[in-house]
Amino acid sequence: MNIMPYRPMGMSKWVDDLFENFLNRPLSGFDSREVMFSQPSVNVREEAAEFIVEVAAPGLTREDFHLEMENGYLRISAEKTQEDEQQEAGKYFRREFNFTQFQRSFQLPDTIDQEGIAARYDNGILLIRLPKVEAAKKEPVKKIEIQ
Amino acid sequence: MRFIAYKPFSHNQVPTRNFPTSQRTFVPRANVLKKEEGYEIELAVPGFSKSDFEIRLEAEVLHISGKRTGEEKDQYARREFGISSFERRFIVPDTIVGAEIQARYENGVLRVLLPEKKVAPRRVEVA
Repeated sequence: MNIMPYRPMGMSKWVDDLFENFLNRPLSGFDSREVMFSQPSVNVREEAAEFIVEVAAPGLTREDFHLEMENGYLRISAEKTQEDEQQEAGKYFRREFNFTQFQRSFQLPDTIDQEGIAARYDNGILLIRLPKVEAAKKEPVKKIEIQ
Repeated sequence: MRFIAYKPFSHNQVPTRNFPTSQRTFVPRANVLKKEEGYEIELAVPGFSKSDFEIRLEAEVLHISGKRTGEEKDQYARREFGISSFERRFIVPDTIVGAEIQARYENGVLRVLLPEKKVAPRRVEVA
C-alpha cells in the first residue's frame, strides 16, 4: 500500500484515457461543420460506485442506439431507423443539427464491471451507468478519533 | 416604411457549439422545415421538461425560451454540454397565424408548428 499525495484536481486514469479515438470520427473531408452538426456532446461523471456517461442526442428513440463493449472500449452508436416522411432532407430551410447517424468510442478503465452496464434514453439524453468493480469503489471517509 | 429583403427565419444568433458547457444561457441548435401547412422549427434541447418552455409571438418575432432552475452536479470529469436556460428568436413571415401555433416536446426535441395563412398571389397587370 502506497501513500499517495492527495490531488483534488487529479483525475482517475480513465479520464486521462478518455480522449476519444479520433479515428472513430467521420472525416467527411475534414468538414468540421458536419462533424459538429452530427456528433453528440458527452458528459462523464465519476461517483463513488460508478461512472455516468450522458450523451446528448435529441430526436432519436431507444431502439436507434447500439452500445457495444470491445477490447475495453465502449462504442456508442446510433442510426435513425424511421425518418419522418415529411422531413426528408430537401424540405429543410435551415439545418443546424442532425443526429440521425453517429458513433463515439471511449476507452474504459479495467475497474468497470462490464456485466453491470446499464443505459436508458430519456428526454433526448442517453444515460449510461458503468458500475465499478467492488475493489475499485471508493470507501467512505473515515474519521479517526484522537485518543 | 422600409423595404427590406425577404429572409424568413434569418437572425443574427449563430450557435457556436452544440450545447452549453456552463450555466450561462445558450443558443440551441435549430432546424427549420417547410411543411404543407406552414413551417416547423425543431429545437435540440435535451434534458428539459414540457413546463420549462415558453413560446410567444411578438409582431413578426417568435421567441422560444426554456428555463432551468434545477441544480447541476459539478463533479464532471468531462463536460461537453450542460442544461441551462436559453432563448432563441426567429423572424417569421407575417403570413403565420399566431393563434394556431402548436408545440410539442418529444425525445429532447421541441417542435413548433407555425401554420400559414393561405394567400393567393395577386397578379399585377402592366397597363
